[in-house]
Amino acid sequence: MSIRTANLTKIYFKGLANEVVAVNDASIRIDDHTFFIVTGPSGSGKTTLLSLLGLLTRPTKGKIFYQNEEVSSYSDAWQTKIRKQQIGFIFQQYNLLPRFSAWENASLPLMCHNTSESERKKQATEIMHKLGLEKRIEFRVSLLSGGEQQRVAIARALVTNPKIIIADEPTASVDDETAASIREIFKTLKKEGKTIIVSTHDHALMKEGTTFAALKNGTVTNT
Amino acid sequence: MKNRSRRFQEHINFLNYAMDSIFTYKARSIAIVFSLMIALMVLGSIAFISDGLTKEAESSANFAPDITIQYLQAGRQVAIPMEYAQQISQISYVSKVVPRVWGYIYYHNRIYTVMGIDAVKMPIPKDIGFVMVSGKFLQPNDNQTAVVGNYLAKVFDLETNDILVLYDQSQQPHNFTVNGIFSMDVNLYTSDLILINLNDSRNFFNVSAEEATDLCVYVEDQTQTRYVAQQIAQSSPDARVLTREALKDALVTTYGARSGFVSVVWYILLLSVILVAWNQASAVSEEAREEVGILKALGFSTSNILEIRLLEALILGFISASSGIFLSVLYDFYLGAPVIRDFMLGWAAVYPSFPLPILISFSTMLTLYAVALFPLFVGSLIPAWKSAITEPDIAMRGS
Amino acid sequence: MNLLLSIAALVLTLIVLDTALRIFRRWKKSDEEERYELEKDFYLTFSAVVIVLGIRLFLVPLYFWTMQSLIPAIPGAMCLWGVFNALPELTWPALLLKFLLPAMYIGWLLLAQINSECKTNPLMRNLMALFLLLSPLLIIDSAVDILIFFRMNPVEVSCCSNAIDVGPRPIPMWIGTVSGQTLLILVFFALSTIFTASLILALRWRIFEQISLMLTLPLAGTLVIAITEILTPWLLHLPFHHCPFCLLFQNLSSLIFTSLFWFALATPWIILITKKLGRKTDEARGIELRLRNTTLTYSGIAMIIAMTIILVDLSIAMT
Repeated sequence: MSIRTANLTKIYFKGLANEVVAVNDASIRIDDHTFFIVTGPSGSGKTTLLSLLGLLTRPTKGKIFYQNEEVSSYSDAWQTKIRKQQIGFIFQQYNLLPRFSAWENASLPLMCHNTSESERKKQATEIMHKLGLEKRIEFRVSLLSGGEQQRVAIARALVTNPKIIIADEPTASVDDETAASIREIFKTLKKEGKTIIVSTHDHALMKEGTTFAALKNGTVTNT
Repeated sequence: MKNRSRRFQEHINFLNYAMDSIFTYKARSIAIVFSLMIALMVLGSIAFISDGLTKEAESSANFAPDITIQYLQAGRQVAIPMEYAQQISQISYVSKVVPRVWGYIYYHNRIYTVMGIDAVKMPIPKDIGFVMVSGKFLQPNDNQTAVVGNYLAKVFDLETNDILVLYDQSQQPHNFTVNGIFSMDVNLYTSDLILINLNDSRNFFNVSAEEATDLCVYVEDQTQTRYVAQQIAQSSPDARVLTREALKDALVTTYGARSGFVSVVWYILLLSVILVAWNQASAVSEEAREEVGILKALGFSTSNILEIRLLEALILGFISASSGIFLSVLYDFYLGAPVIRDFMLGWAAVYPSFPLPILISFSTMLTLYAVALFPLFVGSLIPAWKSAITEPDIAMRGS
Repeated sequence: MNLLLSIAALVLTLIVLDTALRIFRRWKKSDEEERYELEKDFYLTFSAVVIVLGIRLFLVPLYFWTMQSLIPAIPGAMCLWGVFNALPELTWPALLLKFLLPAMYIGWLLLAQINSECKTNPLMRNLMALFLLLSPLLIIDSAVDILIFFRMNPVEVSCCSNAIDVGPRPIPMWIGTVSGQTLLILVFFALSTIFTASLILALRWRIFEQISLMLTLPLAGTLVIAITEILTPWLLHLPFHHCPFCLLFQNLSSLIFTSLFWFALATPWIILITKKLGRKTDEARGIELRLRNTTLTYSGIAMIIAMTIILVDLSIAMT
């Protein structure tokens, strides 16, 4: 699944005194099966760019293309459909739901895929096994370590077998050992041919990248 | 078929999610359920009693003759001269005219009806379940005998051949031997009615042989009842002519009006319930908002979130309605509906104690559930929508 | 409860009216971000309309049931006819709206369905425009329902027999003869058959869509006459009685075939709405055609079932 943007701009608080141009006139291309790295200092617009690419927010100007189809003008329902079917998200703060167990969190995306509870548990458990979480399946997430929580979040991103993975600083909130294991996971995903879009400061993870974009003050300075 | 059942699976998943949310946000759920449950309990109690009384009223009207003739003077009912009976019996389709002498007595702090009838001529209607549970019915040659309802007999501990002492207007005692005890479908009659012979009644109420309290007219062909009633009204303008249907309508309307009045109180309760539901649904915590953002990032659509929120309202409404109905049944059946009972029966008359007629019909149950669910839906709609339109972006950047 | 639900429907409509107007006015001029915000508002409108439709559909039988329960309170009334004539200036318009509005709402919902299946909400403005057109009708409908219950008084009315059975009747006397009845039955079934055929043939040839539309009013009229002149006397076994309300409330199958006929007669109008407002883009056109075909199919089936029920009922009654 290739992604392309044309003059993508996102302005927060448009027209107000505290107007912020988070992303400015970004035209980038992410080919299929690539490991796309987004770098830049804090506040450079990396998270906003990822939100735009993942159809989590609307651009103020410009267009986004998925397989040459302009998806930025799609309705909310259709963009949600694309997210549901094509994209898996890994957030910096994990964003797990504390009232559910590890497998329930991991299987959440399958709830709107017409999958029964038993089937959801089966699929989530399979992925959690591959990520080394076989002993944590029934645990409440509050009882898991940071590294385990991030792996549950990764399992959640992978459970629908998406074509695109979007990860925002996946190794930022974990220790070195966990970061290493997460890098291994990304290596595996790269081998599986997924299109991966990651914003990161982790140099070891950057080495896995095949295409790069550097952001400064919302502008793509280097691709 | 497989695709259809899989599409259904999505909604089952949302239902489970909604139930989980209800248990997670307990305080909010309890507030909504409790307030709606009380409102439904009040409405259910009124509805069941109203339905029961209406049915009782309809049944009691079946005890009435085809046409009842009363005599009016200056707009008030007085004893009717017996010559009217002669006049009326000449009208086509009239099969017989039977006099009644009846009135009320105050006995042991309650009002009872003492009715003197012609035991030979007066027909007992077939479809009101009238049976003699002990003894026998009034005999034409008996004097100072009475037949009472089984509930009245139970309250005063009367059996066949016991003496029932009744006091007339001048406080003179009259002894009646209880000849028999009857039961019938209408609870009010079995706890209120004392039947005696016509002559005994004239003696008791001091009504002469040339008069009666009212006249019971029986018609050969039921389809001609209205015609006969019209003829009587034309020939006797000073008579009040009451067909059985008119009597039934009046009774049904009276009890319907009473329940309608009390229902107004319920509307006020319901408004406060909707406000509670709105308030509780609107009080969405930051955590709940973030949860929705995360779900949307994971592929839940705005419609899905709306569905989950409205399912929560549906479940809460269903639980509230079921609990409310259950409590109203307890309140009516086991506690005898104190407070509501007096209003429904009317405080003006001091009724004897009798089992409150209660009817639980499918249509009333359906109405109660609909009345619980629709307003809750309406009250929850805007808070549900506000929750559903949370930006998925919130998952990426936090709130 | 009738009152409560009418008030709920009225309040909901008023709440979303402003939103609908805003979406209608701003949609064309707005950029992607603003459209997204308007789309969020649309979810509220859509949910409200679905709930209002649910209430209105529920209110159709409930309205009849409630009016039926008022019979004892209206002197002289023996059926709904009497109750309606206790306040004719409100009850008859209310009845008309009960038949008209659900059909128009179904049209709106189909249009919303087409819009949601399209990728870029091409029908948003049309949807809002239609809702703005419908909302005064809904407000009037709810207001009329509310007024009926506040103004209904126990006035003396005539029985339906006096009004409908006794002359002078608007229907010619010869309809009651054997030849008249035979002719009327033949005309009724012929029209119904042609209508059913045109619904089914419209799946393939567009001309039949227009034919079915043209036939709705004549068939509706014929249906009413058939009910009063043939079905009521025969099915109730009362040769001189013509009150349709007596039939509907004493004969369950008449409720069923009347509902099915209603749906079938409403269909050409519903698909007229979706045709005029739902073919804005090629994508929308494709979806509209699919939904149109589904509706026509169900409609044809409804007609066949309705005619079968009538045939069976009449056969039983006549033997």
